[in-house]
Amino acid sequence: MEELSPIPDPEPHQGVDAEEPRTDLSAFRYILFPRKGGWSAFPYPDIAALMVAEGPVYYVSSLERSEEMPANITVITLPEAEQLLQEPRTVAVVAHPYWLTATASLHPELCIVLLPEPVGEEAESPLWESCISRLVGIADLVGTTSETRYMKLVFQGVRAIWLNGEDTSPAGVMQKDDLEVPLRDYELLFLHALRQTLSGVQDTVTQLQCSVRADFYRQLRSKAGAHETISFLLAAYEYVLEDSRAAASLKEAFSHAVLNGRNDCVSSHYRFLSAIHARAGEIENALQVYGISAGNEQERHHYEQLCRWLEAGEEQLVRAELLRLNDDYGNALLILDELGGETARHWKFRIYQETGRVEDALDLVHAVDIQDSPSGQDYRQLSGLALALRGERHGAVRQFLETALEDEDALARIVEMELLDQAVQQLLGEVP
Amino acid sequence: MMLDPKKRRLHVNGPMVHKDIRSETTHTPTETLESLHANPEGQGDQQHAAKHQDTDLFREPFSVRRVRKSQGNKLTAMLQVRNERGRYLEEVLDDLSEFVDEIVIVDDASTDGTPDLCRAYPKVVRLEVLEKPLFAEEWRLRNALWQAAAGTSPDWLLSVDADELYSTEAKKAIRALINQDHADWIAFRFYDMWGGRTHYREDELWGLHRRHTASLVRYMPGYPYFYPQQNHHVSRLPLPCTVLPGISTELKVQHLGWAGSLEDRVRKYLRYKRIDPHGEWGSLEHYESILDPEPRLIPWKEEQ
Repeated sequence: MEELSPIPDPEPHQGVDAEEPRTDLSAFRYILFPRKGGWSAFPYPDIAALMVAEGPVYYVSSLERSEEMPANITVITLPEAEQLLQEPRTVAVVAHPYWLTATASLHPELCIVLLPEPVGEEAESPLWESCISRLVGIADLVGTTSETRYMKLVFQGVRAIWLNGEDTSPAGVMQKDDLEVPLRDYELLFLHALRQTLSGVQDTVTQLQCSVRADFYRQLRSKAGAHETISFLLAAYEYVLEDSRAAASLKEAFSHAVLNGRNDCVSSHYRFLSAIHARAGEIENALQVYGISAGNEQERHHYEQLCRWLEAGEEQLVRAELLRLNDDYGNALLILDELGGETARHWKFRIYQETGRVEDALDLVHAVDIQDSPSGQDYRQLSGLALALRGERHGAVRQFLETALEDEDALARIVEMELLDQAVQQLLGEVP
Repeated sequence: MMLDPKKRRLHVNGPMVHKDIRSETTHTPTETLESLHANPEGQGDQQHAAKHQDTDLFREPFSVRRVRKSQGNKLTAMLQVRNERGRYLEEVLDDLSEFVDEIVIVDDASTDGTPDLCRAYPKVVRLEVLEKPLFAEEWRLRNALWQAAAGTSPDWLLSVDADELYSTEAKKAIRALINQDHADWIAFRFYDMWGGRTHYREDELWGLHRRHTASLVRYMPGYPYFYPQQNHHVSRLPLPCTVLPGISTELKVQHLGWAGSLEDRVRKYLRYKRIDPHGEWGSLEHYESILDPEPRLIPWKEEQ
C-alpha cells in the first residue's frame, strides 16, 4: 500500500522512525478492561495481539480464563489490576465505557481506549455517550471501528485511530517469535500510534490515516461519481489535511444533498464551509456562510454577536468560535491557547465541558466565575464529576446532594454512579 | 461539522457558559477592548488588550455586511422574455415599475423587437440580449437571468414571468415581506386565468393555486445557487433556495398565460406537443386538457 510508505517497519528489530526518540517499549505492560461476555466478546482481539507482541498483557475479570483466550494473556482480578496500575509503565486499555470511574480513579499513567460498538440497549442509554465523552477526555489514544466517531475524535484533537478499512491486503508484517505476522493497514497504524503515544512523540499517524481515507474517497468519487456523503467525507478529510480542494468537495456534497431533497442540508452540509473558510483564515467569508446557515433565533443571535466581535477586531476569537461551531474543538483550542486572556479562558472552559474534559474545565474556573447561584450550582456539579473520576466517592456524592437542594436533576448523577458500580460487576462477570 | 445528520448540538451549561458568551459578545465596536479583556489577575491580558488598543487607534471603521437586513432592502424583479410584443409584457413592466426598485431582463433572442419595449422602462437597469436562443435549454436560460440579476447587487429577487400580475394586496404587502430577517423566500398563490381575467381554471389538472409557489427570494452573496440541469420545466428559483426557511402567504398572483383567445391556447398546445411529444418533461394528459371545450372555471376575486 503506497500511502503507508512513510510508516517505518514495525518489526521491532528494525527500530522505529529515525525522528522518534528510541524508547525501551518492552517495559510497558497492558491491562485490558474488557466488555462482559468473556474473551469471545472482546471487541479488538487483533489489537490485543499487537499488544502481546509489545509487552505483558493482563485481562481483568472475576471469571476463570476461557480456553479461547490466547495463552500469553494473563487473567487478573480488579484488585490485582489496581495494584499493577500503581506501578510505572503500566497502561490501562479500556474496552468498555462503563469502566469510566473504575479506571479513571486508578489514575493510570497512560490510558488507551478501544471503543466498542454498543450492544442491545446500550445504544439508547444516555449513560453510554456521556461515559464515552468523559473516557475520551482522559484517554491518551483512542481506537474505534466507527468512521463517524473517528472523524469526531480527530476534530476534537484527540489522538485516534480508525480500526477498520476496506483494504484487507497486508500492509506490513510484525515479527512474533520466529514468525512474520501480516498486519492490515489499520493495525500497522495503531501500532505506530501506540509507540508514538508511549514514547511521548508528536502524532504523525492521524495525518497519514486521514490522507489514506481522503485518497479512498477520491477514488470512490471518481468511480461512482459525485455523491452527497462521499463528497462530504472527502471534504472533511481534505479539511483535516488543510487541502485546498475541501471547499469544492463540500459544495459538491451540498449540491447533491439539495438534489436529494435533504431539507436539513444547510446545517448538516453547507455550514461546514464556514469551518473551511475559517481554517484558511478567510474570516469574513466564514462568518457569512455561518450567517446564511443560521436557521433559528438562537443561531442568528449568535451570528449577530460574532459580527460585532469581528467589527471590534477580534478576528481570532471569531475564528475559534466558528471552528467550535463546526465541532473542530482541536483547532479552536489551539487558537484560544495562543490568544490567552479572559475571553479565551471562558471559551476554552466551554470546549472542555463539551468534550468531557472535566479536570481541564475545572482547572479554568476562578472564584469570580461562581459568584451567582446558577454558576455555583454548575460548579458544584462539575466538581462532583471530577471527584467521582478521582475516586473520591463521598466528596462527589456530597457535591451532587448540595446541588440537588436547588436542582433535583443532580440526583441523576448519584444514580449514574450506582449504575456504573453495577455495570463494573457485570463487566467483571460477577453478575449476569 | 455534522457527520451525523441526526446529531444535534448539546448546549451545556457551566459556571462560565450560560451568561458570559452572550454578555461578552453583545458589546458594540465603540466599547474598548480593554473592558473586554479586563483581568486584574493576568498581566498577560493587559498586554493583550493594550496590543489591540494600539492597533485599534489606526484601524479604519469596519462594518460586516449582514446576510439578512430587516430594513432598506432593494427589491429587484427579474424576467426572461422572448417575442413578447402584443402580449402582456408592457402591462407587467408598468405594474412592476410601481412596486420594485429595479428590473433585470434577459431577452432570449427575440425577433420582434421585444428588447426595445424593455428599454423604455427606467427601472430596467440591466437588459441582456442573447443572440442565440436558450429556450431549449431552460436551465441555462434561468441561470443566465440569475447571474445577470445577481450582478446588480440585489437584496431580494422577484422572479416574474412576462405574463404575471401581482394583486394589489400582494404589492402592498411586499415591503413588509422583505424587510425582515427571518425568512429567505416568500411564496404566493398563482392562479391560471382562463379565456380572460374574470375566471381562473380549477380541476384535477389545473390546480396551480392550490399550492404555494415561491417567486420572491433573498439574495445572499456566496450561497451556492444553482438550477438543476433540465431542459424544460425548470423551477423559477435556484434549487438551494428550497432548503432555506421561507414564508407561504395567501397573496395572489394572476397568471395570464391562458387568459388569451382560444386561438392563442391552441398555439401554445401545439408548441408543447412539438417540444415534448412524449410527455418527457410534462404530462401529456395535461397538454391535452388545454383544448378541453368546457373547463371548470371559477370567478376571480382580487381580495383574499
